[in-house]
Amino acid sequence: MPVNLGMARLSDHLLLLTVVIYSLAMLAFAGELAYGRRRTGAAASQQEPELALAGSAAVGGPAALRGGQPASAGSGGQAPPPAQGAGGGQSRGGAADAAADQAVPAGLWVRAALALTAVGLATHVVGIVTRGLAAHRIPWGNMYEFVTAITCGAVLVFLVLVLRYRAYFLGLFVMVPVVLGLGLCATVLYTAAGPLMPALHSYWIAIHVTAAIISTGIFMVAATTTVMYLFAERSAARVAAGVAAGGIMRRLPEAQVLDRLAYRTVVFGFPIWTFAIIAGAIWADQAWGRYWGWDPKETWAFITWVAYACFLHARATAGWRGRKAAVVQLVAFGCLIFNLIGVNLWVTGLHSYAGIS
Amino acid sequence: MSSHRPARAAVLAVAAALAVITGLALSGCAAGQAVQNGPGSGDTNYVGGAVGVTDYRAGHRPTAPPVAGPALTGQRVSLSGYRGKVVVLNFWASWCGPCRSEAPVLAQLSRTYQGRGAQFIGVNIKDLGQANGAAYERSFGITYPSLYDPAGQVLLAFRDTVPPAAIPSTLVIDRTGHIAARIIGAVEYSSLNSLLGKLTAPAGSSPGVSSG
Amino acid sequence: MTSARTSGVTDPVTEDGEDAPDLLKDGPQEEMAGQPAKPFGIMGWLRWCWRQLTSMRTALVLLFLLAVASVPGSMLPQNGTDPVKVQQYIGQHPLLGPLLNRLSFFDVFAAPWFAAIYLLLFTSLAGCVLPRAFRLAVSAQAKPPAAPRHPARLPFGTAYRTALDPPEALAAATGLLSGKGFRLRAGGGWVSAEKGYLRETGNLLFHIALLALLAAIGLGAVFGYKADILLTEGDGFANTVAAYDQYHPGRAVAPGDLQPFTVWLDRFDASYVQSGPLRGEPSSFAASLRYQAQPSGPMRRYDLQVNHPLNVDGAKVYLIGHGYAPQFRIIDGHGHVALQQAVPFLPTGDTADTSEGVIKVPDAQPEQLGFIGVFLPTEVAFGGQLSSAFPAALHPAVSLVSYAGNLGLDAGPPQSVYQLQTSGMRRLPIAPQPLFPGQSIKLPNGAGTVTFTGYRQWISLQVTYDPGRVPALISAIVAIFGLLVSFLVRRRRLFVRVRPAGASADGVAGDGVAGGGVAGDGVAGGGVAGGGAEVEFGGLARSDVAGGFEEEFAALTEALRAAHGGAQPAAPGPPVAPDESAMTSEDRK
Repeated sequence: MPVNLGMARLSDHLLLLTVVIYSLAMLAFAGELAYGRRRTGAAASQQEPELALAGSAAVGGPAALRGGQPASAGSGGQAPPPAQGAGGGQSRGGAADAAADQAVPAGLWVRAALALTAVGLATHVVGIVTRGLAAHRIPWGNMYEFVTAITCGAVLVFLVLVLRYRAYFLGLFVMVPVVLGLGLCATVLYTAAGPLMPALHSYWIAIHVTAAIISTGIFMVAATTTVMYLFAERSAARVAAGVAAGGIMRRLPEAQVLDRLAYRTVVFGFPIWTFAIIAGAIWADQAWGRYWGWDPKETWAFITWVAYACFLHARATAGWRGRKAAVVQLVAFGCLIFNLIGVNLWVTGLHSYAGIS
Repeated sequence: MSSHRPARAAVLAVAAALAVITGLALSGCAAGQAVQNGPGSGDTNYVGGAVGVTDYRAGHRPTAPPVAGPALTGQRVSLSGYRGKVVVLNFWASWCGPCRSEAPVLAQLSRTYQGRGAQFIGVNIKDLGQANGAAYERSFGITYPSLYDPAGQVLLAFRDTVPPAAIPSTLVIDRTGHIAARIIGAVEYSSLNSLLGKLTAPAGSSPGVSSG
Repeated sequence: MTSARTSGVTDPVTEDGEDAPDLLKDGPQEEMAGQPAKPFGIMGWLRWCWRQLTSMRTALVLLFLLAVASVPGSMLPQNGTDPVKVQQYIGQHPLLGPLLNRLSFFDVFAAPWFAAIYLLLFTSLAGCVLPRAFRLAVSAQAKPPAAPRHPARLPFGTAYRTALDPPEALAAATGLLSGKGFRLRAGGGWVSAEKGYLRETGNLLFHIALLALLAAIGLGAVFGYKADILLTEGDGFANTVAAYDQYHPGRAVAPGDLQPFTVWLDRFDASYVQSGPLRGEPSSFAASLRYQAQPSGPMRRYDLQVNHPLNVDGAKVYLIGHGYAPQFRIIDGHGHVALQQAVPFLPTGDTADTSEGVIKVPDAQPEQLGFIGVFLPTEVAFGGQLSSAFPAALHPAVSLVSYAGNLGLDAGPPQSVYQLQTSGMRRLPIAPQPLFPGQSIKLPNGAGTVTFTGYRQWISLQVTYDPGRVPALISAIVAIFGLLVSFLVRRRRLFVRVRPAGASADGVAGDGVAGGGVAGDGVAGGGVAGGGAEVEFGGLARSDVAGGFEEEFAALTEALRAAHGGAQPAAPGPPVAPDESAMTSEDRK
């Protein structure tokens, strides 16, 4: 079937519009950091109780239990504000992560930024869908389409985190790679809509590539959070040494919060990535006669998987938590990006579907 | 303290599992990893097997399966039609170097043993079209018939007995229809000659017909 | 208490390692705890080595090494996928090339050092996981530990008073928790509840599935085979060793093990994008096959496409590539037909499927002939240059360079069918010109005539048999399932302790009002005269990645209060550090 050129043009326009809207959202998030309401910082001490485990409380999750009070999580040492009995007996929740955030309602900047993000996501999704309609196939068949979809996935994951954990502090930092990625798409990676190669004519493209796209989006958000964590951790160390924290750092949640959020995100993405690899192996078995052949893309997907497994194991090893584990995660993310882009562009193998000559 | 017994059992289980895994992994390690996808400029287009002669002693010889089909010349050839004679079944292709190098040997021995109760039959595999095979026969003066079998179905018939695992391969079938020997690789004059001498000798008499 | 754990094996398959408090540790104590120090003998050293191997740190290092070791396998050309490129690389790097070759860098995934890494890793894994699996099986019915003295001081805790008597209150709590599926253990005035054992099961299942995956891969490598063959339209092949172009058996595969099927190619169709920016790209391939599963079996048809392999008795036939095979009839100097066949030409890699090939005519008399040819599916001439404009055979043409002499075939060593050895040949003085179907060229000196009679297409097939394929798939699915279970299931413990109201229990209510602003009646420790019980309810959870223990605890608290008939707030427990010694001493019970 011939390509529907009108739809293809619409798709291109929508995606350009998306870049603009995301850029505005990015500015709004930056505005929030610069001019938004401050958090009550002290209460956001995140020290975990010594005997408890890494606290199970959701980051800023529903506080039905505590009725909105900043629960003290101190063990010895800390000087939390007195717990306020609020009817119904005394109870303590787990380590309150960004509980103090709940005391501060989302400001205008944040609302504007989130609204822009949501609108941008809508145009993003419609842009992808129209691309698929134009080419009469699932819209991830070449690099341009992959990166577009991955950035969409990342924004989606970010919005999920906002809804679940009120993690809008991630906004600015997630938008940066998203905007960069989309910009790259529109310029360097752009290919016109067209049919798929015969090798890609399979329903597996909906399974394997979709899973890869979703997990890459998740890992992208996790990596962004980890970068923030590293900065926060360094800032906390400097604060402990007596140096005042920088402006942005004071606005962000504690390092522990970021670390835990990043960890949870990776944990969510890891099974999906595993599934993507397995689905890819099943498809390879159908198409190329073997389920694993150490094709460069397969090899790098394996390396990425092992690297993220390293990260998960590192978190379980004392002495490797914190910064070292964060570095491992960033290395793993680097492998992922190389897998996505580097292998397609620079290494030839059976997976060379970049569509770029 | 109470953990000793389960710990010991655990150790045994681990050892057993490791032995199995190691065995499988090591044995699978080097085998079958290198596969090229599709034809490449280095292709000889056939599988060269381990060269050598395998003899089967009398009484331990597998039965040759029935083989029949059209020859390059068009006539029908069947293995069963030569029962009572020693049959030399040679698998060849016109473009195959080692096949070509052994062809004169086969041609000569076929003439030598014609009147001595041996029949040579060729099987022309992996040649597209019969003209090439006919030209090959012409080049080497091969007078014995060759089955035209481009797909190698005659090879299939032998898979349960003595599969010819490469080309060229030659099977020597004795008078009773049992496979006496398999030669993989180019046939050498002396070895095939002595083999035929033994097989075609009248029962009881000593072998040793000199090459003629 | 935790110090004994740090010496050797850490908890490799949980998140918290040595940080986890004893309340959530189970299983037998480490053997090394409390052992007297003595010099290491051989057994001691072996045991130390084993402990090191199965420790988390080693696993980390090995995982990292595995990833790093895979990198050269993707950057350097590999023998498995492109041996020609390997040879080119060695040629271009005279110093580095042979060295890398020696060290198996062109065959990374079959290299001994790579095998050493993953075998060590899996040994470490097995050595850690299997004993844990045993422990799990053995202690599958282990009860939760005793309740601490003050459950309200746990990270999730609450205390309140109820009008029920202590025994009734306890019975109500027990009933509620047991109704929710917790495993219970009761004692004097307390009940402990635990749930979420599946987490460990899932974890172990995942790691064991990885071991099974390795075994399945090994199984396939030993008992499976791969073979390649090129088929021209009209041609066929039987699944036997000698019929293949390339054959790679596993260690335990004998020629007689191959499934006895035969496949014929009737025709091959390829279609290409006709217009638009992707003009010339292939849009579909289909090969019409006929096959017989047994030599005497019925002939069946099958349309082979790229993502639809043919499955015959467990062996799968895949369509890998395709190309053109121009047909020639060559009459030699003596007037005989020396060659008449379609000769497969290999695509050169350009977008219009220009193909190159070699025609060898060893049976031409008086001299052997050889030709190097170029096939152009859609021939166009641009200023004297021949090229192809489109991959479909819209205007096929062939251009030949002719040689005569000795092909070198008769002397023995196998030659590539796609390369002509011209060392023993001389080039014939014919001006190269494109031949269209039906046209011939006359060779000089009466050496013969070459006619380009038409063309056919060929396909390259790969036949694979891998008995480990299905076990590998099952292992992978089990692995994902185990992974999800271990991530989603929370391990949590709940403790309920009931005391008679007003009992002068140590540390309850009376102490440590300091720091607590209190709502309610503010009775600091004074009991209510007559009846009633004070209930302390606390819980612990592993850092649950799924979140949600808060909600569960809140819901359980509500349910428990309801079961206790709506409670009045007790004097609050102090929000200061829990009584650490009390807690751990409780544990030792």
